[in-house]
Amino acid sequence: MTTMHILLIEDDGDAAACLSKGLVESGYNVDHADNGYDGLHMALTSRYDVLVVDRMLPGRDGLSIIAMLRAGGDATPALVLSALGEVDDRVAGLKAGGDDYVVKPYAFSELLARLEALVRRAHPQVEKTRLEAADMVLDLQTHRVTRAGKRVHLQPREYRLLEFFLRHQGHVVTRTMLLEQVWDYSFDPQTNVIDVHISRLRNKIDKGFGRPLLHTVRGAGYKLSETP
Amino acid sequence: MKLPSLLRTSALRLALQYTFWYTLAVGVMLAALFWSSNRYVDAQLEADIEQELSSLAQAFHSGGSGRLIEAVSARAEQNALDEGRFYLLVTAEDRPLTGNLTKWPAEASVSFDGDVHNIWLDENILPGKLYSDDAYLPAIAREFADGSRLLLVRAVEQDNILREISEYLLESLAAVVFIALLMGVTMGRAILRRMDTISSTASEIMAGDLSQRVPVSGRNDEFDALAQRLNNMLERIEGVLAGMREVTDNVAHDLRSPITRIRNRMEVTLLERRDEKEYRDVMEQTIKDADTMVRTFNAILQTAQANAGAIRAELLPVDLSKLVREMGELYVPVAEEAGLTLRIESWAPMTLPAHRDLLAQAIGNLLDNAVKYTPRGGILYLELNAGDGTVDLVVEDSGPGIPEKNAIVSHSDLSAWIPFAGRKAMAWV
Repeated sequence: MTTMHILLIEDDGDAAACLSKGLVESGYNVDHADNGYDGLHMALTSRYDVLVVDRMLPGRDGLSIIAMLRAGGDATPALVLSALGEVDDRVAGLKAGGDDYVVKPYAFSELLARLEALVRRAHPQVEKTRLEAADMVLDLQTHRVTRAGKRVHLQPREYRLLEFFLRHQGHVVTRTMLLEQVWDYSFDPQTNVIDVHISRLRNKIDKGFGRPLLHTVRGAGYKLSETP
Repeated sequence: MKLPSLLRTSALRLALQYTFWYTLAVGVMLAALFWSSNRYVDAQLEADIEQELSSLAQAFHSGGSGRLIEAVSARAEQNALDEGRFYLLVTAEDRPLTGNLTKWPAEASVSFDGDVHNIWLDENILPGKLYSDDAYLPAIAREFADGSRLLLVRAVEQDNILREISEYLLESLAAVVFIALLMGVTMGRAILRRMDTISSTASEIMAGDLSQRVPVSGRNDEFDALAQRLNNMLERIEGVLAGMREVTDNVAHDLRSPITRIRNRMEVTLLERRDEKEYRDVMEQTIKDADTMVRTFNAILQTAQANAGAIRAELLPVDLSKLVREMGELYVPVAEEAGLTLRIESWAPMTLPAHRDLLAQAIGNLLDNAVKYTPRGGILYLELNAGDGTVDLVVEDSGPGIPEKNAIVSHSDLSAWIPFAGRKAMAWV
């Protein structure tokens, strides 16, 4: 995989510097614009793999930049950063053409996980009939799951959870992403709802099979991979 | 209240309307009274004249025509002009025998059927120019065995009686209008006085004293009902505000502690040179504290939004029973982990315009709390019941419940989260 190019449009200098540093250290190339006009200009003149756009910007607001790009046929994935976190603000952000919406204050790990998911979504792999990780196989047609050749019985929701992990193999997925993608809810549970479901899934796919596949990433979420 | 301001009020309009309808009603009553008096006077007159005729006929039967002439003459003389009683006895050939009328009136107008009829009398028939014009007067006629005919006419001035009655009635009507107006104004002022108390209480509340209440008179009337309702509303608002104050206090406490912790931990860490592991530990703890703060912060925002009823988002059709089942399914493992049983009851499919994520958040919050505060071995219920035009979403637990003083706040928080269009939502913890 070549190095991903990110355009960060954010007017808060400190926040932008911190974010850039984090992204660069995570292996991305980052360009930064600190106002809407420059941001739009850069997005139109260079090719990026993903855009990170603050919603409220001097000059031109983030949503209008995305809407402008979409109107011109530019489908570069865009993640909206915003301090406006009400449900209708989120809906407005997605309607304008944003592919994901992250509300401030956010965790860097959450942002990173979402950016990676966006980039992967933009480069779809050939549609497979089975997903694999080490000795685990998930058959998308028969909905059968096996590990080391042994049948693993999963509830429908556990199956979808595992499918999501397999499709994001090797990448961190956050609890919020799981709730959004697997349960189709975007709210903030006050308790460890997701953790309990993960622990049940773990009991079925990892327990008694030697090397565990489902790992907890401290402070971020979970990752399905052969190595922690 | 001064009079000029009274003139602009709806109370005066009411008073005038009251006066109009009251006067109309009394007017109709008085007209009926006039009409029946008229009838009574007529009936009296008829009875009187019929009785006199029969007594004269008696004279004829007992003493023949001589006795009749005598009787008629005596009465005619006695009663002549002053009492307005007129008599005429004529022979079969229309020749006057006695009486105080000059001649028999035109043949056609007199009938002999024994009833009283009004007949036309020319002015030259009536003596003494009692009337300046022709008169239309009640009369009765009788033909006797010898062919002689007797005519009795009454010129009693019943018009005068009726005029007196109607004058009397009109005077009473004027009195009625006056009394009605007086009553209307009194009533209007009474209404205004009670409105004034409500309005002045409202002013005091607007000036900042939310503890004020509209006085209730105890008469249990509409004004009391209104006052009671306003007071209930104020009670509710005061409760919500108190709840918000409490939330804010709690939040200030919840944020102050982690901020202090973060600040002091870092300050202490910087006091000396430390190894990398120690730095990492401090940073990880700081991230954890920051996450707690973010969570608290989001909770404040949500509560504030919910309390302000500021959920402006579009409502879309949501299958409530599906939502309840899914949320239940999401929380069943959490409940089991905590040694609790979560029972979900939602049978009838129910689609309503609502806010799916906010509803999910509401159910999630209630279940989170239920799981957190119910002792092991307890049972939680998540139910969706359709009532008559209402939907009850019930989260019930076998835990200790919530103190009475917080109950109102919990309820209001929740109802703000569930903006059903035109439906009522209820929830209990």
